[in-house]
Amino acid sequence: MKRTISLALLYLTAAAVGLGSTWFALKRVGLEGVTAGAWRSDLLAGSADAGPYTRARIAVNAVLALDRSETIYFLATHDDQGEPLRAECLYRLSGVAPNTAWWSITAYADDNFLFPVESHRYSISGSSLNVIAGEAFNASVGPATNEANIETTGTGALRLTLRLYKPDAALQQNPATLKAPAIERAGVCP
Amino acid sequence: MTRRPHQRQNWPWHRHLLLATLLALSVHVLTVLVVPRLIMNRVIETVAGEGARPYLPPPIDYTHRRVVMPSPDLLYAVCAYDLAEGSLLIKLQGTYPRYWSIALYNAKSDNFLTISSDSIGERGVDVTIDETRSTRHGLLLMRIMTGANPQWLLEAEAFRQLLRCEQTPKRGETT
Repeated sequence: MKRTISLALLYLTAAAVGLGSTWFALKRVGLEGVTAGAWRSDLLAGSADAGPYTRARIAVNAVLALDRSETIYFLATHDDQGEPLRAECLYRLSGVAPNTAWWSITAYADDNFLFPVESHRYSISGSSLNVIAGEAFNASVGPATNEANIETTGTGALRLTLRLYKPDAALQQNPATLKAPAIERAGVCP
Repeated sequence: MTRRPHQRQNWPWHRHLLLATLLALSVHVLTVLVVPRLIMNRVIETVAGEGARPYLPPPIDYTHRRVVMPSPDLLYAVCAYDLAEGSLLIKLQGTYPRYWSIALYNAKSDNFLTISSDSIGERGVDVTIDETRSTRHGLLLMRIMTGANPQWLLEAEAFRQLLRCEQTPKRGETT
């Protein structure tokens, strides 16, 4: 009887290790692909050429992504100093508007959904900042009390997604050449 | 001492450990392979309407928790299809002065076709999807850029109403 219970525990643990390692691989291991500043992109998102891990990671973290020829997605989970982005901190975003049909930066909580902010300040884009390709822009991300362009609530991880719709040929061919927006922490983080 | 025929000899522990390791690996690999299909099935079930008729969700805000990473700058339209019910005919006659696209995803979550504003111009969309192009189940997702601008949102709303997703009965079937 004792042996039977021990064996049952062994196999249950093995199944749990299998599931746990999958969760870790899909949620905690960073995307493969290219980096530009603090931003990272998996160029096989949405593609039929994606390997099983990329496909599963995209399905879990960004299902219904578009193919790279249509849209390039960059994700930032850390600032330019390598510190994890946090919802309770204020960040300055600065850079040059990319040469695309349209672009946006959106803030997501750790669960990959929008922050519950009543102001509806979820994102910035070329049209909301009124800048055209090649022009410099400045914006902020942080708690509502700071009147940031993009508002967050609560505490915990912050994820920023940069969407580049219809990037120009050069950027499409080599996304690492993106002049990525800088992400710098402003002030003291509580 | 001889073993009785009905008496089963216990496996040594190292064999159980090896089998447990194989079980952990199998669970890991199978889950990685199955996850995209499970998630797509869930998404399709969530948005499936009557037949392939488009589902027109309200503009995105924080209460939208059906699909991860929704863009608040886009207005969406969705058609979930089952090719067992016939080929999918996608039609859209009209124009919108900003970015829009229609993307098709198969059951593995691969984006196998995208039609967008710059490739179509004013010609309109008239596309047929059958089982040579997609898995049996799949999803069409239309994105229309609104930039959270109230006037653009009104125009986008009128534009997405023009989307038609229809299924033609297979040859030999009657309606």
